[in-house]
Amino acid sequence: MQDERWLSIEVIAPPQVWDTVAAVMIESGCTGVQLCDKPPRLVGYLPETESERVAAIQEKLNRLPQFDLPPVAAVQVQTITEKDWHTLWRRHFRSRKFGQRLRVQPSWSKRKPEPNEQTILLDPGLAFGTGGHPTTALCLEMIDQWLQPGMRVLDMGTGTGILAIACAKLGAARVLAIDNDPLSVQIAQENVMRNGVSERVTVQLRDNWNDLNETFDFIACNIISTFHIANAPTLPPLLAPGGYYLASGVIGRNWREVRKALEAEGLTLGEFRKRRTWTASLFQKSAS
Amino acid sequence: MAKEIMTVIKLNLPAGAATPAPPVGPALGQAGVNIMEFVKKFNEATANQRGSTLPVEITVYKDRSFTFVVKQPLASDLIKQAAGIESGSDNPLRKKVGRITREQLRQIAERKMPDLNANDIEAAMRIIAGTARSMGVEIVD
Repeated sequence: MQDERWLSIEVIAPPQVWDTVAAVMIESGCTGVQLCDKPPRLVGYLPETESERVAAIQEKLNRLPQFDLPPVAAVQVQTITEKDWHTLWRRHFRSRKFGQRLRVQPSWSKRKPEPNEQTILLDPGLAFGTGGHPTTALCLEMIDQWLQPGMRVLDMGTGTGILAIACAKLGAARVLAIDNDPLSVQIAQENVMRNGVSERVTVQLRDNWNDLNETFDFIACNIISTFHIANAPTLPPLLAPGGYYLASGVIGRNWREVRKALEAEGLTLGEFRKRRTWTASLFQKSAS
Repeated sequence: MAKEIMTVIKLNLPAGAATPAPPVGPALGQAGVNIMEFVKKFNEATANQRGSTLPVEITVYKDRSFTFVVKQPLASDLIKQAAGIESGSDNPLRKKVGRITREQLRQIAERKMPDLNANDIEAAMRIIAGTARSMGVEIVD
């Protein structure tokens, strides 16, 4: 597929006839179409060597009003060249450092880790959590700051497993990562294996932490404000004395309410960080 | 999870047979979506509908993770299925290749209603009927 030349065929048409126009384009050899708004239009592609098909598409589309369908505007054709579709998207996701010690690196990056740096191998995909969003970035930085070797960790809403892997890489004794989405659990499990931390990280499908009969030194929870507030009452029994609760996924205007709910359960605020509209905060249970 | 949507990409793709070639490559590449991951998962999810073209809506989040929802097959595929034909007519005004009943027309319109942007079922049926006629498929009572 290197340097292949394509014709892009653009048809301005109201959404009611998108199916009809798409069918015409696909029957004429397009391998699919993209539907766009403003203005409503369809874009299909043909290899440049098949340019004679454009006239056939135009002719079929011109006939649509004969069947009481709304007319579509003239077809616009452009030639495009693209070097490699497989790797174009990778430009948007690069190796990135978080805090002093953590680096998230996609599989195609050839960057060598610096001394003292822990690398998390991760490609973006169908689960949330790549470090590209401020909430994940803040969590990684605060884990780097507060996690101590030997801690027992719970990662609630693990997504890709990124925070669980970070904790294991920084020396957590054991990490339980849970998520309510079966696909995320599968992806997290793959990422845990890939990062060589499967001995210490367990991934489970669960939608709450209520029936966990153990305590943790560090709970990371990057979900949303309402989750922190609703689950605050069940949190203290899960935390070991002196244990930390990292509350993330909270937008600025909800932060006070989250703080109020957690302080009502006897937790005290240790650190607060904000990036763009997002906040992450670390609370601590008293040591006695 | 604190997901912020960056963009929504709408494509019509062959069930079980999508490839990184256009339109997938340029559309997803520009948005920073993992192309092979999407292609694999889409083909896996739609393998049992091979032969149809399926509209798919891909939601891309700010951290470049994504989800997708597959919708009802193209109206023309539903019409072909209902009429029991492989393809439409090359000369739909003169050469009729099949027929569907008004009841089948209504069923297709109902399935497609959410995607058609039509105001009511009558409007949706008019669009589907037009599509059927443009393929050389007659509507019978």
